[in-house]
Amino acid sequence: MNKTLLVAVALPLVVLGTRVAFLRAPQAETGLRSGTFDPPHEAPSFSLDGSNSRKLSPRDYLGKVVIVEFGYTYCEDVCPVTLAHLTEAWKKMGSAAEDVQLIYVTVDPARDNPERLREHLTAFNPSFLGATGTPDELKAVEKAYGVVAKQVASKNPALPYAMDHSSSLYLVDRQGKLRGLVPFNTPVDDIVHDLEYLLKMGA
Amino acid sequence: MIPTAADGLQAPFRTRGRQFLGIVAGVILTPVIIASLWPVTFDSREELFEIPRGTFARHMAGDHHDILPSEIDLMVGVHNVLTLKNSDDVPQTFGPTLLMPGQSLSIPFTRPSENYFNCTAHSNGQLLVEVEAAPTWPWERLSWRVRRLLRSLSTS
Repeated sequence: MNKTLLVAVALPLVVLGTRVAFLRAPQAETGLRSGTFDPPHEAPSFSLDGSNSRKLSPRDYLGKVVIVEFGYTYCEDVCPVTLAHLTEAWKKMGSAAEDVQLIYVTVDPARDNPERLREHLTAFNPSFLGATGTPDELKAVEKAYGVVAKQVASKNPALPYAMDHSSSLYLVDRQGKLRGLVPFNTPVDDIVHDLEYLLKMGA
Repeated sequence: MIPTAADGLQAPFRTRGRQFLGIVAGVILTPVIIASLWPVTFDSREELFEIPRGTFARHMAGDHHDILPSEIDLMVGVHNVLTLKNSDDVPQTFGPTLLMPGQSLSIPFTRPSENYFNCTAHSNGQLLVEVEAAPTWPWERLSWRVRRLLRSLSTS
């Protein structure tokens, strides 16, 4: 074989071998699998009308891990998937789920009253709680969490409108600090991992 | 065997011709081999976007410069953590959340996926985080590098 060609082939292989030998080992997994706030701050609080017929605030659940979700009961794509994932997560966690509270804040106060929220959420899990309020109250809560929600045309002719809204979940630890953000469609096992991590962290 | 004039080319020309072909092949093959076999690595697993100090004041003064691109590309296991940091003096809605001054949000992505976040920072109101699998086969690495090169050439 031509010496020049031999060198041309061999040289990159030698360089490559050297590079591979010095590759870093993968990092060990630590902390949450979802998004992590650093440093964690107090979760924005609110006082809204709960589906349990009482005023509802995340502060009422200090000592528990709280998930704050934004959605609406007529949602046909994002919310049913997320609620189904959470229902599955609750099942997987067993009795540990008693120390976790979901607060589902509506972005559609015109249609979601406490009764409607209760009926909808109970179908997924009786422990899930909904929260609603006046449009101004809800806008203030959305702003405090950085949530976007706006009315759009519905693809379903049976519905007058739909809501385009942020789809992430917010994880609040037992001390009331906003710790994590779970993107839409995160695997159930990852949600369970993070909830159990937060439960152990504050135990 | 020493070539003679009867072989059609004079000996020095034939030797130089082979050397020339070898060099041309080397020039073409060397980058192709390296691009195919060299592992895809990044300096960090993190893709950091930061709101610099004074952004709010500049925004209020009429400077509406975008800090966050509307599409962010990540790679599973190699470059898969999106970090958003607010170094400004005021709370800022950045990507999918509100960040306090000095606070950051790091989101690891562990699966190939397209992730849409509602985001007020963009005119279309959406941020797309596209996560692709790390290329494992040589042709995948070569293809990824060629695409990246073409993309950087088209944006420059």
